[in-house]
Order: sequence, then C-alpha cells, then structure tokens
Amino acid sequence: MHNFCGMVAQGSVESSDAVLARLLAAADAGGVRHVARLLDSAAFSVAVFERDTEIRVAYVNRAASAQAAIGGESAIGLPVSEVFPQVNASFIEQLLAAPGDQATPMNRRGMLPGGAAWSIDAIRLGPDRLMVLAEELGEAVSSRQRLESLLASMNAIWRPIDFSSMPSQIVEQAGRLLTDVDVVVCAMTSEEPRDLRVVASNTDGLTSANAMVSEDSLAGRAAMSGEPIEINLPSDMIVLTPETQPEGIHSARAVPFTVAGQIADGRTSLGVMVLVKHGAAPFTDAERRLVDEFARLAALALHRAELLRDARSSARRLQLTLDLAMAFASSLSAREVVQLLLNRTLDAVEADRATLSTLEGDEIVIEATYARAGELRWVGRRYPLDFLDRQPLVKRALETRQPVVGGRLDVDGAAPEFREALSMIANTANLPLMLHGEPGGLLVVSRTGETPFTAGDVSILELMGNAAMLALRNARLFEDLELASAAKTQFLNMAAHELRTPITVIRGYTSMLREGGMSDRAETDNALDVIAQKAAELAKLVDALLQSARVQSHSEGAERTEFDIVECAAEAVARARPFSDLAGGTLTALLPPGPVHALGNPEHTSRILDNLINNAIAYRSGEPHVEVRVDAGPDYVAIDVQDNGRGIPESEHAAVFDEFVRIDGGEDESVPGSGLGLYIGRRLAQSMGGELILVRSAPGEGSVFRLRLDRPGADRPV
Amino acid sequence: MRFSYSEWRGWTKATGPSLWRTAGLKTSRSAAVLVVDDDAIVAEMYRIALVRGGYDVLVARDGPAALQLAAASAPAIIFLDIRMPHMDGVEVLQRLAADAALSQIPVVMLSNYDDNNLIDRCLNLGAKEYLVKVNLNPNDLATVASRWITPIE
Repeated sequence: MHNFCGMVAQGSVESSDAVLARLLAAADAGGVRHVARLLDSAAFSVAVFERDTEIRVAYVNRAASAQAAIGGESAIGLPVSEVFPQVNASFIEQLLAAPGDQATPMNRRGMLPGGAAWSIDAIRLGPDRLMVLAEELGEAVSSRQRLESLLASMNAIWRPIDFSSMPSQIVEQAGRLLTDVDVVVCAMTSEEPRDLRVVASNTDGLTSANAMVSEDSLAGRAAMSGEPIEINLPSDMIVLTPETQPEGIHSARAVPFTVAGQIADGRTSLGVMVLVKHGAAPFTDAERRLVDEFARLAALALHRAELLRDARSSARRLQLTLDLAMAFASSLSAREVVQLLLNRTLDAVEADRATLSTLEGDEIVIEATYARAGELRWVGRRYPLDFLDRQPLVKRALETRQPVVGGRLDVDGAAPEFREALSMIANTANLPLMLHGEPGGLLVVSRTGETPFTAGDVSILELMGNAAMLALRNARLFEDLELASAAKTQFLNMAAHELRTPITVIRGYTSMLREGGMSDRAETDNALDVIAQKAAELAKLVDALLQSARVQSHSEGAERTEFDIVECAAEAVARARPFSDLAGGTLTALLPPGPVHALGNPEHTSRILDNLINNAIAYRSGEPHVEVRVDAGPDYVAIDVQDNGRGIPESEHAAVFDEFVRIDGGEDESVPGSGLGLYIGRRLAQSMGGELILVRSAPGEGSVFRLRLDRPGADRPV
Repeated sequence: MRFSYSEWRGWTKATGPSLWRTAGLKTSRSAAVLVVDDDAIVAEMYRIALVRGGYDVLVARDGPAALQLAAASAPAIIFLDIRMPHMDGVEVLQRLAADAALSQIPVVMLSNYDDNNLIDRCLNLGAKEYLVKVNLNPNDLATVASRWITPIE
C-alpha cells in the first residue's frame, strides 16, 4: 500500500478523476486495476478533499456517499461542510497542515469531532489535496491494514504462474487475510470441467485431497451458480462432503472463482474457495467483502495460469505435430505413415485407441487400428459408405467436414471382432481428414476413461491427421510409381526374351549353314525355311510390341468417331475366312440387316476383331466353329466372338489379358503368337471408352469374348 | 504380373515323356546328351548340332519329361532351358540337385533370360554353366558338352 500510494502521490494530481485515471493507467492488466476499483466499492469510506478558497470534496466512494448528506457525483466540488456536516472542516485543515513529506501517507486514528469512534487514514496527494479513508471502529481490522494485506496477498498469488502450485498459494494467502478460518480450494479444471475436486486445503478436518465435491453441497452450489453462498452451521447443507461435515457452531462461506467473460468449456467458475470460521462469531461485512474481493483476484490469477499452462501444452503438442510431419516427410512407405500417425496420436492426446480409414470413391477402407494395450492391426477392409449409417458420430463428421467429439460408438454397427473393444470406449473424437479440400479419410480416436476430448485435443488431431493424409497420399503415389517402374522393367525383360527366341534360331541356323556340315539338301532347305519363318515371327512380334507400347502411352483415350460396327464385323469375318477354311472349320456371322453405329476407332476395332477371330480359330480343338455376333443395347453395342476351341480354366481368366501370356498347353503343335494380342486388344478397347472381356470359357467348352463399345448419344464419359 | 509356368498344368492334355527321340548314331561318342526345351524348333536345331558333334541326343519338351528321361537314361550331360510350361528349368535343376543319383549329372543352363540374379541362382544351385541362347553358336554345344563329360574309356 505504501508503494501504491507513493506512486499516486508523485507528481501533481489535478483532480479526483485524474487520481483514478492515474491509478488505472499505472495498474497493469488485471491485478492492480482491480485494486483501484476497490476504492469505489470498498467497504470503508474514501474521500478526496481539495483546498482552494475553502475545502471542497473532489471524490467520494460509495461507502463515503452513504455517510454524506449529499452523495455521489453531486458532492463533487461542494464545500466539505455541506457534504459531510458531521466533519469539522478544521479537522481536514489540520490534516493538510500537518508536517510530513508529500510522498508519505499519514495515518491518523481517533475520534471524529462528531463523537463517533472512527479510524481515519489520510494520504496527502499534494499540498492542497488529501485522500481520507475512514471506517467506523469496531471492525476487527483497520481498512488500511486490510487493503495492504489484500495487495500483498494479491502479489503473492499473482507472481507465480505455475498452475499446479496456484491453489495452495490461494489457501495460504486466504489464511493470512483471515486468520481464524479453515480454507479449502476446489477446482474445475479444463481437463475435467464437469468435476469439482478439492485441490488444496490448510486443514485436514474438512476434506481429503482430491475428493470429489457434489453439486448440491455448499461448495458445489457456489461453483455452479457463480455467486457466493454463506450458511450457518450446523446445517442440512453439506459443506464439502458428508464425511467431513464440520461439527459445532460455525459460519461457512463459499466464494466462487469467477472471471469476466466466458471460461473455456462452458464452466461457470474455475472453482470455489470455502472458508469455515472458527468459533461462533459470524463473518463481518468487511470480512465478506475482503474474501470475495480476494476470490475475484484469485480467479484472475488462476485463469491466467490455466491459459498459460494450456498454451504451454499446446506448444508441446505443436512440437509433437512438427516432429510427426518431419517423420512423415522422410517416409515413403504408406504403412509407415499409418503406423506413425496412429502411434503418435495415442501419445499426443492420451487416447486408448485410434483407427484410420480412407475414402475411395463410394467406399470406406478401414486401414488400421491401434490400441494402446495391444498392437497395430492392419484391417484393410472395404465397406460401402452407407456403412457409416450405423455410426452417427462418424457420419456427421464426414458430412459436416468438421470434427465431432462425442461419446460411445455404436457397438452393434461394428464388425464382430471389434465389438468388445468398442464396448469399452467412453469418449471419441471423430475427424474428417481433408485432402485438397475434400474429405480423404477418417480418424477416430477414443478413450476408455471418462475424460472427454478437449478443443485442444481435437486441434492437435486435426493437424496430425491432415498431415498424415497428405503423407499417405504421397507415399501411395510413390509406391504406384515404384510398381509401374517394376512393371516396365518386367515388360522389357519379357520383351527381350520374346525377341531373342526367334533370333536365337535365325543366328543358330545361319552359323550352322555358314560353317557347312548340314548333312544334306533337305536339312539345308529346312533350316532356310525355319529362318524365314522365324524372321516373319520376329517382324510380327516387333509390330505387336510397338502397338503395345503405343496403347500404353495413349491409354487416356483415342479420338472417337461414329462408325458402322456391322460393316466392321463383316469385313473382319471376310478377312479371317481363308484361315478358317484352311483349318477346315466354319466361320459364321450373325449380323443385323442394317448399319449399327458405335463410338470408337474403326481401325482399332478391326484390329481387336482380327485378333479375337484369329485366336478363336488358332486355339482350336478339332474343327473350329466360330461365330461372330453383333448385339445392340440402348447405350452400347457388343460384338461377341464365340468358339468351340480349347477353352481357358477359370483360374486363368484374369491372366489372359496380361502381357506375354500365351495359351501353350500340351498340344503337339504350339500356336505361334506374341502373347500380346489380348493385352493390346483390351488397352485399345479401353482407349475407345469400351471394354474387352471374357464372357465365359472353360476347358473343352470353348470361349466367348466380347468387345463392348458405346453407342452415339450415350451419355458416358470416355 | 504373374508369370509362373508351374501353374499352367491345367492346359495340358498329355504330360508324359512323349516328345523325345534319339539321334541317329553316325559318329557316336557313346555319350547321351539330354536337351530340354519346350520350343520344338530350337530343340531340333540343338539336336542337329549335337548329333553332328558326335553325341547321342535325347530331347524333352518340359520339366517332368526331363526328370523322367534323366532318371531312365542317365545322360552324360543335360542342357536345360528355363522358361517352360508345367515346371520351369530352375525347379528342374533343384529337383535334379536333390536327387542323389541325378545330382551327379552336369547341367548347363540354356536360356534367353540374362538376368544376373537368375544366373547366380542357377549357378548356386549347381549348374555348370549358364549360356544365353541368342549369343550361342549351336556348333559350340558339342565343345561345351565335352568340357563336362568325364571320358568313359
């Protein structure tokens, strides 16, 4: 108080407004400002007097106004005798005339001339200016002493910023302000905003550490309502807990820690301070105002410490996220990314289980789940999106693209092997993970304990999850690239092998012919025939390889024109007829009478049909009977090529469209070919927006291949 | 892409050793050579060259046939292709090596694959040489054979 008033007294103070303005300006945010306001609401009278021609009133606080004939604003500027008839102006004159340094407050105690017993403190603010603090005697503590101790207490609790030590500081300082009380501090923390718990106490009798305080207790009611409550004991109302109800006659006052504005998590207060006064004497008004004021200061300090602690914890989590992002950046494996995310997520928000899913079109793929208790488990299961109808929390997160914090998941909606684990979950955070502005995945994090996820938890999960999503996409792109590169290498290896086979024979026979020693003319002729045949095969193979390379690099789509599929099919049948006749088979075309238009490339279509019909005849089993049919649907045309040949077992159906895959069974005469025909055919069909499929085939039952193309006007993307 | 010929059994009608013949014994050194190749034209070319080099020649068109012929005829050397239906040359090599009697027969790999890993694998499995067909003059096969055949005299 000395420093405080000394500060005020320095310089010339013009008016009471300026005194207050200076008080406010000099005060730093929150604390001292609050003390300045005390002047106005103080329990004791505060007045500032100025002397010009006579002594006038420059300021009165509320308590002084109550003592005055004319109170409040109206008193300003009036002579002291009009405002305070009971005060002798010469008494003020005497105080002003008293010797002493300007910067030093004076203290006078005694009887006012009116006869009542008052304690008077006077602070000289300047040569002609005086602040008087007056209080009726009978109060236990003088106003000045009280103001001093309040300021000291405030300094004590304001200085430390360590949240964990704050409650015990509050208890200690409250015990210093009122020496004859037991003090208990309970808090509702941001981790558990719904629970009021005992966090500090200067007595063992009233409570046990960390005890949960019920809502209908004195402490609970004050904390929830945000207003101080006082009761006289014995009472039906429980002070803190039923087990620790004080015995005997006491007064108990509970003062909540409230701050202006809203507290995070919707708490009405940060906690409550409970004071139980020793002995039968009740709390005086002054004591009540003192503890209430102290509680308000304590609330500010508590709030500040809590914010600071949260900020520190946010910084820690931000560091975790940065570390994770760095780890992601150095990882090119999708599995590693998933593993890192789930693992670090559990640590960062102290969760018990985390599950990552990705979205692929209309499907949700549950990638992996990681439980603290167990190991990371790869799920890799696909569900249609409406699978989420059973999990409203997750669904809402996806639909609103906002994190949804909630309680349990629907256990029955989960796969059976997860039901037991899900049934233990008490709290969840469901986050949509965004990729380029669209939801690309879902992160569901859960706790078995009752602690709900906070806004801070969610923000850290969002940071981690979205970083993971990007890393996952990158890793998958890289893996695709690796696969594509490996496939290309494999293609080159196979192409080399295929090309070398005819060259082997050509070079081999050429060497043998050059070095002489073919035993006879027939052997020589045969060698030359083989060389010619292999050279022709080689030329065909090179063509096929070039075509294959071409369809690979132009897979995005060919120019589509309208053309008559019937004409195209008829020409292909005509081209194949000599081969069919040579094989002693039949080749039938079942075609509509008029033209049927299709969308695509007629040359590509011809090439595909030639290959299909050629295969149908070549891979024969006995006399080949081949049928070519054109069917037209509402938005497509289909050309079927059916044969009665060797057929393909179902296990190989998918492989026949791969590169270099050839039917080469135990037949005595193997069919020449590149193993690229169907591969090229399928790619060509796809480039036209159509498809080439194996409709049915089985060993001994022949095969049906179908080329499907769009009809003009059909609204299908290429 | 899957490329395992050993899974192609389903394609076969006849799997027996039906496709072998012995060469005419013009200048026989009384040693039989087994040529294993699924390509009839290549196998015939090597047969002609080896016969001219003075060997009796047996030909097998796939792995199972090769194993049966090797067991039945005890050839002095085996020229073994790798890419074949039913059972590829590497598996044939493994089976030969695992059989106490057959493991004594020298094996020379003949293939148009030139992947170093594959070559190392075959040599580690006991193949004497690995020759890339496209670079091989068939007339040299007899010399290769004589390198590994222990003289009977």
